[in-house]
Amino acid sequence: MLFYLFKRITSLIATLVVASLVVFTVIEVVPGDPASYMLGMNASEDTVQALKTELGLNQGRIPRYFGWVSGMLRGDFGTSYTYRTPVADMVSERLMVSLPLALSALTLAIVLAFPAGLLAASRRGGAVDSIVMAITQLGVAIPNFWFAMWLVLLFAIKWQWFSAGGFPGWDIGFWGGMKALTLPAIALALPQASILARVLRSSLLDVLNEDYVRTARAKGLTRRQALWRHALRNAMIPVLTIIGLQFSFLLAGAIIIENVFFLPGLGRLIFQSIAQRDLIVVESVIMLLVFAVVLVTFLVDIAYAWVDPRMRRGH
Amino acid sequence: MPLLTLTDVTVSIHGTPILKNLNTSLEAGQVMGVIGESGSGKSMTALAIMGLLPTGSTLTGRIQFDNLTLNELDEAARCTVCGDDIGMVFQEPMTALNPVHTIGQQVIECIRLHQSVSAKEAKAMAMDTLTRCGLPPDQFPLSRYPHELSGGQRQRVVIAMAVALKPKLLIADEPTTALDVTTQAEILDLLRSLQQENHMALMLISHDLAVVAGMADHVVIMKDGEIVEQGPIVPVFKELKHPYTQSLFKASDHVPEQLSVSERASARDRSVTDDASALLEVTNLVCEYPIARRGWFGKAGKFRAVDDVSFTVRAGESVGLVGESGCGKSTLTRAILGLMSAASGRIEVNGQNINEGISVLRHVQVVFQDPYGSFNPRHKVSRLVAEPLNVLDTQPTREQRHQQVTQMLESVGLHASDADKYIHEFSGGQRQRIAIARALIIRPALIVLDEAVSALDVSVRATVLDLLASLAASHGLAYLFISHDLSVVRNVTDRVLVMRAGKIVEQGNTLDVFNNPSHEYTQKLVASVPRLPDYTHASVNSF
Repeated sequence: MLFYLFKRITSLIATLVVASLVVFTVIEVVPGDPASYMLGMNASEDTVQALKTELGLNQGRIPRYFGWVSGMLRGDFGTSYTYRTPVADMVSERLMVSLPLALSALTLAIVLAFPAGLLAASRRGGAVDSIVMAITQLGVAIPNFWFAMWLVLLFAIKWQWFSAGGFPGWDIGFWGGMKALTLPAIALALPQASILARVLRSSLLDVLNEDYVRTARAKGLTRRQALWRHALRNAMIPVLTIIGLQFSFLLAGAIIIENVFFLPGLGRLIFQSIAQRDLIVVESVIMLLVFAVVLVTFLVDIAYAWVDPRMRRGH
Repeated sequence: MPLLTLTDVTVSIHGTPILKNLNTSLEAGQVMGVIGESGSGKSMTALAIMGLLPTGSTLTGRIQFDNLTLNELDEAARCTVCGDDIGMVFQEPMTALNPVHTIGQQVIECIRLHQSVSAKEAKAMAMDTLTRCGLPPDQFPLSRYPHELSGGQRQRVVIAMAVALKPKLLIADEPTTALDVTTQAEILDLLRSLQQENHMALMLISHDLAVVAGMADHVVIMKDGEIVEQGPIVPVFKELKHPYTQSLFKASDHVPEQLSVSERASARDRSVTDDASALLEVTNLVCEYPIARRGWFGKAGKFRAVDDVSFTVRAGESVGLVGESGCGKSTLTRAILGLMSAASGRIEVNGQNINEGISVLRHVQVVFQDPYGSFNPRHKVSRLVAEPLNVLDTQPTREQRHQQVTQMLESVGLHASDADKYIHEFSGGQRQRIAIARALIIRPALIVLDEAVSALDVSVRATVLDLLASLAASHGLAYLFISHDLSVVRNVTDRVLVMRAGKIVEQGNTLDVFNNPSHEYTQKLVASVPRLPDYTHASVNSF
């Protein structure tokens, strides 16, 4: 098990190094000079050069790469070209919105998906199964911004239980903040819950056909007991994979929902930064997301080993 | 009163009749052998007793166990009987255990499900049962996972779960079919001793007459969902009154008519008169697999699957290769087919090294074991059979291809019209014929038969063996016949190689090796093969 961990950590670090090289190279290739963009069309060549020197853009590529990486390791992500504020502060402020949003959406998705998937699988072909399949089909098909608008129309405008958008900050208290994130989290969770429920259902149905489930029944377990004790854990592998992918997606891919609800999240930050050629912010946020994805993959790998003893041998 | 009585049991799945009017009974402490080919309904009978029929099945009739009518019980009541008074052992030990639970957990679960004992007592009972089943906890701790055990050991765990609560009836559905012959002998011994110790009734389901003959007091012979004959074993097996029983006996020890090696060799090439002309020559072959590194600074090791193997196959000769799973048979096959490279040593076909390219390899074709998995289900038979033609230097025209496919299909006993069908439209035996047609189409000199008849029913197997014999005569083929089934190898090969742990431990004329095995391992193998007793002189009244 220790060796397995060691191998996974090594591959985690290797992935980060490769990703940082790729991100750096891509940003280098993108057209557009941040200095001239910041100073506007009428700036003189001298002013642009001066700003370039100040931003460190005149250095060679290799020193700039190492400067960037070592800065990140120290927690210094540089200074935004546009706002002249530390990138680390901007990002952490946005994370305070995006991370709770992603976590609550994912939790909601899991809480909805598990009972639905389990029920559908245990009553395969029955009425419950058909209803779950129909609802999840809709959940996958409906665009989430459209669903989000309906949520706003009903819960914010008609019944006024929630605000229609914006984020008041965590200063007003935990529940105040969570209340503002509730509608966006529901909008994000619906398609994810639908996918998860369908994956869980089909994975469970596969496992229920396995010989060891039949053995369990022959031992005298009822259908339900066999499902809970023998099928569920074996059916978890594909479900864990999907959960890992969904978390990464929710962290950065919520841009449309952030726009619908006027939330200051990471997705909008990237979008603005790209539009303003604020490349240092783009680089930093992308690296942060890569780190999050790699970390989640690592956690999913650990979860695999926890679920399935055959994976613990480090192959 | 019998322990188990089936009265007019009829089962249909979605309206298709699967079992028809079964009437039989089993006394306490008796061993009943249920014999039948695939599709005869013998496994369905077991599942009907256990209440594990697939969804969509309807059962009529009566299954009486002790004083309970099993098929009228609800799920909860039934679950108290299954696993406690009735235990069941399945065919596939590799998949019958839950991979994520330890063997201890799985045996203990069974005990605690039916008896209110403490965790500690249940653990002691589990250890006791596993010990009785040949897995003492000092060598096989309860914390082992199934993937850490071999097939035979896993089957012992499955048996331990089934007998942990000393059931009155044990149903064993092909318990040894997936196992090696020596392991089969051990598992059958175990079942026999458990049955006698606990005075347990045993329902042994098998396709293998010899396995049943060695165990059962009473036999039931099934065909197409019906019981065709039943009764005490000696009169049934001695008198062979029913024609189906007769045909099963004939097919199970079928010896195809064969020409001599030199006659076969000359059928291919009239110039071959010399017996010694080597078609396939394997010299000092070594094949290795890398083993994953163990530990932090462990060295990546190598596993030597084939260790210094040398042998020849002459033109027109049929050579058997026997050995148990893991002995290196499959690796050797892969190397001969050019599917993996050798670490050292040489493989020559007609005096040319197989590394020299496809032109050498085209003299060797293969038929694999699994008639279901070895075809692409989305291609038509015509394309499947014609595929090997792609390795020829000059590609035949469309017309020629069509003609050759037709000819091949007809030579393996199928129709020209079968070329336009898909593979799922054929039975297992027909698929193996198609595989043979595919191997034959580029006129190879050698066909490697990798367990090619192992998955087939005895009667189908007999016809495929006949086909192989007649093709050998007409095309002058040599066969490398790889099998774990010694009785088939004995009947169809001229020479035999015995392989163990990567080495060939004995080789020679088939009958010599089987009648007078000189190596200790061969002796053990031959002794483990279940044999049908000679019933000609048995007294019918001895039971």
